[in-house]
Amino acid sequence: MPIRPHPDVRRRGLAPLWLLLACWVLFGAAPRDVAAQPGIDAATAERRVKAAFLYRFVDYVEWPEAAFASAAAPVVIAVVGDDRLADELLRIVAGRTAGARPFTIRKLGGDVPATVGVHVLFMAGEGGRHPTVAAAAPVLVVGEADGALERGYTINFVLVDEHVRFDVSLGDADRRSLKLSSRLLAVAHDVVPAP
Amino acid sequence: MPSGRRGPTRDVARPPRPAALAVALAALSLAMPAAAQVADLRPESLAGFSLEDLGNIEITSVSGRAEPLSSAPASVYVITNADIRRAGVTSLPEALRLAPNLEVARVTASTWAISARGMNNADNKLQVLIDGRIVYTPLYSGVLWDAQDVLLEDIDRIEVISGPGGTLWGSNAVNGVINIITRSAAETQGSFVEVGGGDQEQDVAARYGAKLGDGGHFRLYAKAFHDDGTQRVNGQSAMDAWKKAQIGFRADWRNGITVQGDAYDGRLDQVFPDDQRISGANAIFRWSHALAGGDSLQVQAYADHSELDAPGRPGLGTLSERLDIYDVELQYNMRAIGPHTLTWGTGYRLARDRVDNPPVLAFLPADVDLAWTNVFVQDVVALGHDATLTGGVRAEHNSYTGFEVFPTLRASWKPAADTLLWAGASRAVRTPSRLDRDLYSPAVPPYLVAGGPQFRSETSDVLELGLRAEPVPGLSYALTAFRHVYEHLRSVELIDTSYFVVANQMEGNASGVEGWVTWRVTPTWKLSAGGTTLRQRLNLRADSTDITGVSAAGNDPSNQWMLRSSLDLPHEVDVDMGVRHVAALPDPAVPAYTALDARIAWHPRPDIELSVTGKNLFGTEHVEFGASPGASVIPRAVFVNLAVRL
Repeated sequence: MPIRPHPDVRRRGLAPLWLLLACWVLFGAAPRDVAAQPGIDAATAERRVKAAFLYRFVDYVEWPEAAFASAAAPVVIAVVGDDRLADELLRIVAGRTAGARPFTIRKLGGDVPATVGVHVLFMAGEGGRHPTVAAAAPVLVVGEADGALERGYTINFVLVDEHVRFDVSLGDADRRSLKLSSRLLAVAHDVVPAP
Repeated sequence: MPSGRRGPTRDVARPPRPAALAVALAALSLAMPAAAQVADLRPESLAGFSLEDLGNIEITSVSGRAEPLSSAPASVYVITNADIRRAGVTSLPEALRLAPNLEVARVTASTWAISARGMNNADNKLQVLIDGRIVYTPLYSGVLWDAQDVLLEDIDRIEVISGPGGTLWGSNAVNGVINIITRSAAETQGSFVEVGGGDQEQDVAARYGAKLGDGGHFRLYAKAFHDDGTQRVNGQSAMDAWKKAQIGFRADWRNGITVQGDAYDGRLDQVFPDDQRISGANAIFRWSHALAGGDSLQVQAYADHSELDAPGRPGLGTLSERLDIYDVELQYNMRAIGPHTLTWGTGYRLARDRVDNPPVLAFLPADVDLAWTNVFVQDVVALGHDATLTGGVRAEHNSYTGFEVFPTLRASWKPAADTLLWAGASRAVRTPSRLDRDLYSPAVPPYLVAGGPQFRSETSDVLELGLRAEPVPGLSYALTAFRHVYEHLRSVELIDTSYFVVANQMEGNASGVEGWVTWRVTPTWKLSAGGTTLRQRLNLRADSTDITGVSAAGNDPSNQWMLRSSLDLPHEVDVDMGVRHVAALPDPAVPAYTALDARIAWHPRPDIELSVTGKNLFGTEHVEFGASPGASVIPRAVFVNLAVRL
């Protein structure tokens, strides 16, 4: 059986289409107030997602009891070198608690040591500095630099195909007496076992 | 018609077990730029995200050109990798049950009736893509679900769009689009091994991913399973046990090039002495490139080969098909110019279909080359005050009916940052398949069924109105009302009281509401619910002499609903439960049913997951599709699975 266009279809003219097209271009091109781009830029998105991770990590880490002054003492997250990320984090934790503990967010300058009472320390930047905290302190040290896990960081953010993921060093967690939930490890991009 | 279903004998136009026919594909439009899974990045919303949700946010697309799903003016539901894993499903069709805007009925062990907004019996109004490869067959416009598979572990997400999508997705996207997207090779590094078994099926799967020298990544996978088959209502075996093995690979490079492919081979038991055999292989090349100035370009080409051998009753021959599809597509996304943001594209697809006809039934001519050529353009116009207007049109030429045009016009408005109101008017078209034009019986004159020489395209004019919102962080919902007006639906007409032809004498309309809600009660507990209602009214035109009746197009439930709970317990235990209810089907009558599925998983170590899944746990075992007493009873099943990720 020969295959040929159905007669009804062949009769259909395309003129109305061109008319519609012309109207559309004219209509759309009319000067008007263009809405501000509803999206946010990629750097802001990345910063927000990392801030949300820092907040979320707290649920999956167990600190030694001595790391907190009391049962209601706050969880302290210190952010070094990225005040905008700290601001995002402040917005995320607003009105939230980790169990009975409220959150405290600290912005720290580049060389200020994170001393007593910090539970999560985020060191921004790709410079790959050593963390400003003792190697055995019970602090979840989070970075975003290549090779950070080899320099005393517990968790390191990596970008995988435009997604923010994180690697985990079990050796560092052990040194710092932190117990990491296996659920955290299951979501991790890469888990470096303890030596 | 549902793939693989043996049609009632009164329906002479049905081929024997189209479901058993092997894979095929066709190809038209390229997948739109993969939409971001999560678009709402307000800090107060992010706080409710799980670790997994956060890792799934695509950083570029929230600001880039890809449209976040939360602002797409369409009825879209996204099934995530975590949803699939935690539901304990073992096949693609089962995973699709998680979308509240799809009708998914298991017909036999290997065949499914999957549709959106009704039309489950026609089984020919969905566009389905796996990583941009179109998988519905030009043989009858349906998907052979027994031939299509992926490693479920590697799925990133499944976007399910109910409603028309012809402008972007081409012919067949009449009632919905299912877009199955796997993770990139970079995201599937390391080893994964999975072994599972139960009283109904046994599965094994493995995958290995590693780096390539020049900044690329690759993965290889293999999987195999055996399904023990079902029993009929009358207690006899449905003779539908089957087994299948599949291997595949994917490689992604930093320069935007992806190469991937799969090959499979399956054997299906059937009521005749000899088994059916299905096999196939495909290879895809894709290049996504960002141009200076903010434009971007995607080019894709693929080849897809599939084979089917379906032996009939002894002495009555074998229906065999060898199908090759070649497809090349280009899509260009332009940067915003003034208020306009344009996307355009073009594509060409060739299907070379070679059929060996048994004497009782034939596709004539036995060998045919079908070609489709398309060009489309879509413009999103920013109107100010957070309103947009989207207009698009596709012109497509096919071998049977010549040019077809698929227009759409959609408007959306964000009265608040977390609320989207949208409306759409579209025309979708299903161009003829070989079943509509080329089916003859017997294989030589005089014919009882004499093809469909005048069969034209089926059309659907669709109005939609939708609302999506997240009134409080962690609680989101979507609601869509729709009305489809169908014309020129397939019928089988008696001519001169002596023979039949396939024609277009059915018409009608369908209206309904679909909606779902997700509530993250706590970071470790998620509840979701969804459902659809449908009022479908089909009729034959006054001069019709159709013999199949309107239920040949749709034998759909008037409503269905589902409820799921996903809970993380201490000691690394996950508990998931899902209940679904499907109302009765009218003709042939299938009683309403309610099914409970549950899964409990334990992670003794982060890289090990041990799970037990129970399917169809309460109520009686039930039929989901087809007429008693021959219909398959979907049994209760228990499945134990061990997964190791290294």
